Amino acid sequence: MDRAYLICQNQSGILSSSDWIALVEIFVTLVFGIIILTVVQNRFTNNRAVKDFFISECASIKTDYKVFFDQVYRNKHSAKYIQEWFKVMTLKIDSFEFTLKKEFEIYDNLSSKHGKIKKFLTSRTELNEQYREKIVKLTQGSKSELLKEHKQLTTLIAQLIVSINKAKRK
Amino acid sequence: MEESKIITIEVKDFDEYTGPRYVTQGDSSGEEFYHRVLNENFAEAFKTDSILIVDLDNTAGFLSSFLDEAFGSLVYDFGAEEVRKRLKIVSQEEPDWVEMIMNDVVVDWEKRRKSCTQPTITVEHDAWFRLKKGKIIKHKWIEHI
Repeated sequence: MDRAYLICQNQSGILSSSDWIALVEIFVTLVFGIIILTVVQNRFTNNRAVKDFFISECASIKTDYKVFFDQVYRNKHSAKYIQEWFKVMTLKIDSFEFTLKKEFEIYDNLSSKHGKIKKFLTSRTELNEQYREKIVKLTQGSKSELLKEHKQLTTLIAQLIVSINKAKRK
Repeated sequence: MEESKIITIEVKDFDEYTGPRYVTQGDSSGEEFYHRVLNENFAEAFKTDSILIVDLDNTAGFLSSFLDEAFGSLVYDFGAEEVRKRLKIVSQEEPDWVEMIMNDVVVDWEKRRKSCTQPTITVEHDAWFRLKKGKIIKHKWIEHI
């Protein structure tokens, strides 16, 4: 504003060279400002959209596990279903982690935790003994262990969401 | 340097739907896979100085008990050293099983081998191979009671 005011002060009505320099400076500053704002804003919006995508994937994995654990706990699945469910989840989690690590500098333990739960549940004697049955009835001991695993997994996913929010794009 | 010969087997050729640990627990068990497929192929790899590749992909998943029984029995009959030398397990779909077998199953069953805790046989099997003092011998090593 000050510079514009000074330019208007020129009584002759013709802009001097210093006025032109001031005008160009205002224009350049304005253009740079707009460019920087747009780029920063776009980058921020893109980052946010990518982070939101990964966070929604975390929520989806959490929900899948919640439904699965709930039904296994209530003796609603066969051993064959459990076996196949773990394979599908392994593929889903591996693909999620692969893309996540490609985009962000994040080192999480989700697939390792998933592997631990898979190994734990698919090694139960109940699953082997009742392999031909339509549903598997877990012992109370196995159910208690399963609850502990579920709690740890939920905590891990919450930590992962925090990490995604804090993470920098590669 | 001469390249090692390779023998490849795919678990899906045994069954796409693999089962539980023992034959008596369900179809296509780990015990059955070992006695019908794995033992003979590993013995062949030993005889021909080859590497045995076992592909776990294109099945409907596994119970860890299936893998434990099949690959554990292999360690019991041939020893951890020979298994590590000749066996390569591959899986693009579930690579964590490969890690489990090579890190946990091989170690656990080598301990079991040293303590002579024999595998459980739930049905009668044909004679199978075992490595004894550097020689491979086919015999019914465990009687089904």
